Amino acid sequence: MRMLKWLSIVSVLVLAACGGGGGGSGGGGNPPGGGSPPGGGTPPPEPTRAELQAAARFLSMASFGPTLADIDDLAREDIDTWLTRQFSTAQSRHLPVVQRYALEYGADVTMDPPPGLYRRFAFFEHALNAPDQLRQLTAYALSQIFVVSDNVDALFIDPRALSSYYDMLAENAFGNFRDLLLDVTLHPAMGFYLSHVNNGRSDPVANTFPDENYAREVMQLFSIGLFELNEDGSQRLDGNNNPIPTYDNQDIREFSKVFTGLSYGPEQPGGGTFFGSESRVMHVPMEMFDAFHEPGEKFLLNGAVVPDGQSGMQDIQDAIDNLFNHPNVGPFIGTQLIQRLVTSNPSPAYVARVSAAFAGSGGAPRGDMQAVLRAILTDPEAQSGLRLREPFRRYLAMNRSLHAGTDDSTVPGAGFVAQFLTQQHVLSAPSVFNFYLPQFRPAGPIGDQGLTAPEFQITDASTIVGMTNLVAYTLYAQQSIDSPDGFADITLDLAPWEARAAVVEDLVDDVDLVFFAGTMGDGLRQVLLDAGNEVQNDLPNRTRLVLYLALASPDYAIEGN
Amino acid sequence: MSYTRRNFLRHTGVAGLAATQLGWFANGAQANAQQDYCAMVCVLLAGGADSFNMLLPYDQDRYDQYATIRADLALERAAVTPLNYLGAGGARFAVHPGLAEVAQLFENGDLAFVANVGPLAEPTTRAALDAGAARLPLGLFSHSDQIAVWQTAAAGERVSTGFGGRVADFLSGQYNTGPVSMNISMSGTNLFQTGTQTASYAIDSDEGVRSVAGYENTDTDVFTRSLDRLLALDYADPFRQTYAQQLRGSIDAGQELAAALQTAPPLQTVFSEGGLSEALQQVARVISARNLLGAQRQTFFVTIGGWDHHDEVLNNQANMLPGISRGLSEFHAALVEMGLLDAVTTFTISDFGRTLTSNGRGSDHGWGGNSLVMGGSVNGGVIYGDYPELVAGTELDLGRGRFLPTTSVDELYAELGLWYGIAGNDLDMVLPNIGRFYTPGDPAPLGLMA
Repeated sequence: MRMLKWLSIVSVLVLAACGGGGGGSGGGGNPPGGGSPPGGGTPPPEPTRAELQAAARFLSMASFGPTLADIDDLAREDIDTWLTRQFSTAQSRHLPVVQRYALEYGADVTMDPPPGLYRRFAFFEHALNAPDQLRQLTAYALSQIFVVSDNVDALFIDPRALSSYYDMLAENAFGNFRDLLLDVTLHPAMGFYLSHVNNGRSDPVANTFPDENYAREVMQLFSIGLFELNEDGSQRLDGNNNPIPTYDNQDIREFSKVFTGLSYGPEQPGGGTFFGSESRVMHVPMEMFDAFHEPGEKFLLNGAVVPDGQSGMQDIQDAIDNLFNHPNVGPFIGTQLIQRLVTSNPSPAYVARVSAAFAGSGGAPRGDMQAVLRAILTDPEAQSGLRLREPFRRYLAMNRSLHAGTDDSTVPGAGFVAQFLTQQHVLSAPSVFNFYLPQFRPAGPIGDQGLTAPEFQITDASTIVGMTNLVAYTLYAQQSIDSPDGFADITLDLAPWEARAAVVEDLVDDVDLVFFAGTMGDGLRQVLLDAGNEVQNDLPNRTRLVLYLALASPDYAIEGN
Repeated sequence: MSYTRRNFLRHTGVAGLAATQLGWFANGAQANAQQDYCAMVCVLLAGGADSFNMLLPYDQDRYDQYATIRADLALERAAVTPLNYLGAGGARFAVHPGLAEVAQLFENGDLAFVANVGPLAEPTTRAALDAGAARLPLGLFSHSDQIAVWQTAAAGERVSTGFGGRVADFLSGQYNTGPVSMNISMSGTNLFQTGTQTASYAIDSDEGVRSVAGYENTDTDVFTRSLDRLLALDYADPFRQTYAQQLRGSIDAGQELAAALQTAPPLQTVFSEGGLSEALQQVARVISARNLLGAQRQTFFVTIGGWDHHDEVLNNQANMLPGISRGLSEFHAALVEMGLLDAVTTFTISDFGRTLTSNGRGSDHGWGGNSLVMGGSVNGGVIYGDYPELVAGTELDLGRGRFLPTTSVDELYAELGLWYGIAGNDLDMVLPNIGRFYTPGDPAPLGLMA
């Protein structure tokens, strides 16, 4: 069994620290940065250590994991320029990668392994190598708010469903939130997941009613949340100091009428479609069939009424508008995006600034995602936000920063080992409530201070050891990292790190910059130096040992300070 | 056969360290040594199980009412398994065909149902509801709130401790001596087992206890010594403090638990692969090691997800209920093997029951639902509570066949608490709202437990 094999390998390697004498000399040098430009002229000044650290800190929030080259590049310009360029960088799409695998390996959903794997491969490839890092990362953050999941088998085996869904999120990542909300509503993966595909109008004879699933969750999770909020994210209170619900069950019944009549779109453009089809065409938006759409008025929030006689699609547009324009959206979505990108506990003022950006304070239209993202990432509080890194992002950062790759440009990482050990993988949450609730508060020092820490909800005895072991697995796996048989082997490229490991301080400095943005604590630093120095005449193992300790440490597990 | 994610995650080949047997204890000796052991096993069917199709009316009149209101969700009368129990007014009942083993346990007297149970902030009447005068559970019909309230039994407020956690806070010191938490979870962190002093210890339902790769208990191991140093550092912020404490605690407790599991006698009972069977097999293993853990009181928590059947109730239940039935039955056999059938009580909870009416092959969020309770100390073969009349527009129907519960979660948990050894006068320590439903000194609210 593969796991037992690498477990014993780790033990052997880690124990092979028999020492000769001597030790590395001191003096940490500068980490490898950009070289001098060719030709004449004064070369631009090397970035200062502070600039490099600031760049590393920013990239750890705005990408899947900084590399030394990324850090050096950003240190030589500024964040606003970087953001502007990222906003206009072409989108790397997942569906074409899936189709590439399908052509080579087949796409029959009854295959073993099923072609749904390809969407995991596509994600891994882009997370590691795509130039549009911020767009991909924003889609990742959105995937934890607009949750669909392959914990439903149909979405696990189908190769197009979740890759198309992710592409849709990424398309909207730098657009407008209203378009995002509409596209999520019409995507067949969401239609399947929250059961509003083939959701029919009331039938008094058959005694059936519209399915309420999507109506409830689009309000509770995708737009306004349970309680009325102020701009700063705090709850509004009524005269008795009680929070004010945003909707009740009757509202859900009204909205459920709106989300009726949708079914799958055509496999090919111009192809046939019908309401009730089980075609499961997952890569084009759902279509409306007015004959199956609930007729009559629908009473929405804040007194809005959808008139009788409109097309079903017009009803949906009106409902989306009704939710989009609710004052809750800025603080409700804004707070969660801050948590996904920066810190678990933004101050009310931070939330208010982001809400204002959402509302169009900067001159952009309401719902402008670029304005919101800029507000989140460049806020002064973004420099010091504190949060527990998601285990899956720790895994991705390790692979990206340590140059995981194959002989070709593919990176077929299935993520099953990571998921088994940490219970997390993209678009693979246990329910529409994601892996953790935004308001989760662990008991102990964090709860005592009234702080929230969502990621601790999936941190328990089993997964915390699992995460530690995932670090070991990634570093010490001699064969392919989490790539199924029959696909290219993924390995890390530790050579650049090993080249610096002759002097332990140099290695530790690099680790500090790339993974800690220069904030590595003195305690950890000393442990790494001591451990590294115990491994003599073996740069590969010295490198791995230092990385294992660093990346498994509590220092690294938490981002920020 | 269609490929499932569950299959694939298992076949990745990530096998755990097999438990080795280093010693034997005669089962008999163990049973004598542990007369006063008690354990609660909470099985959460996450998503809101459609439990009016798990336990349904069977006498012709009431079945016809059921079939009418359920429309295309109704099970065929010829397909369901009737129970011998006779309720008030000649009521007879049946269970879903996928619950064959559950029916057998019921007839053997080792299992009971509690009908139309759900979170209530206070005894609630339809009249009070209509008048807007009733205190209601917060977040009614919402998954996140209802799944929380079933675990906290504090329906009128959002609290951060659960019934199992408060029980552990209350009595762990009195009964337990070992270093591992008395609250063991197969499904990660959960509100049910969280107390103010108590946190659950999670193990993987497939792999069991995990050990850190490369961590050995020898002084010459550089990784071990380094990790120990790291976990002993002073951290300035509560996030790093918490993480370090958790990792340290998980390693230490894990070593104790792994050692105990290796030493405990292996069970002969065969469990099926995956799902509830796999989780309960781990529970049984831990129970078999209870003496080595110094545990006389334990709770266990298992989540089985995927019950939010807004679509395809009949197909989904046909696929999923046999696994539940099988798991419970295998666990029952393991308890018999260990001589602990009277000592362990297993019960199901879920976010809510679902609408009796259909949305077209599916149902939506309800309120009252049916739970089952299994164990040798259960007065089995009986349906407790008040199974409602399944007719639209009756007093309990709040619309679309969402039923106002007639038994509260508090009353169900009070039964368990009393059995577990908590005095009536102390129940409010673990069930803050129980005073609204039950007066200490009165007979137990349901008569469920012997």
